[in-house]
Amino acid sequence: MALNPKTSAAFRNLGLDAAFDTLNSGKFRIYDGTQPTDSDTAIGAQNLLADLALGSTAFAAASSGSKTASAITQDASADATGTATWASLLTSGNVRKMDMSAGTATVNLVLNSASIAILAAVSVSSLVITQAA
Amino acid sequence: MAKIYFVRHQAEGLLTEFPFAEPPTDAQFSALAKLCFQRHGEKHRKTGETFWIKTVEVSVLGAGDVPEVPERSLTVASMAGLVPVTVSGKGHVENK
Repeated sequence: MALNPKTSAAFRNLGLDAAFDTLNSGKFRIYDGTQPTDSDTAIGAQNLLADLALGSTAFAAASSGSKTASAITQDASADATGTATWASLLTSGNVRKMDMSAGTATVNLVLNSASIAILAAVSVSSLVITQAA
Repeated sequence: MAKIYFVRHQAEGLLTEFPFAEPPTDAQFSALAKLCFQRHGEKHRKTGETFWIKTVEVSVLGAGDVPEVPERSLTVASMAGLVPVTVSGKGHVENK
């Protein structure tokens, strides 16, 4: 018999709200280098390229198993020059909670250019977390 | 696998025009730090912190070495091992 648990939208919404509402007033950071194994793995040689701010209500209430980020404040002055390869959602206390790939194609965070120069303006116009049924 | 070394500066990025066969000496490192200071100044305009500069080690591939390229998936997590969570975002970089 197949192993195929399925969850209701309301159930998925509960989980998404519980997890991602901890990111209120958190950060969305973009890094170069190799994405760590998971968000519990400390950053090593990777460099912070851009540091964006999540809203005081970082995400709207989940709906239909999706959680959409509120407006994210751009980084008007990038921290370092490098090639963006991954990004991370952090709490206001700088604890990484979710890492994701970044680049220009077939990645979670699609940028118009992965090449970030110091002092560049870096913005994120949309970010949606979806949990499948 | 052979190694070469570069100096990387926070603002300049990798100084690719200066590859080193051995880790740069203090004199070599200082010379490149001076070059970066001339190009970018001392501190970041936003943070006010002094720019970092460091040596990075790079592995050089031989004729028989094939780069390892991991498969990428848009699924970034799995809640309690049940179902995948995906993320999709869109950003913009405006270099100055």
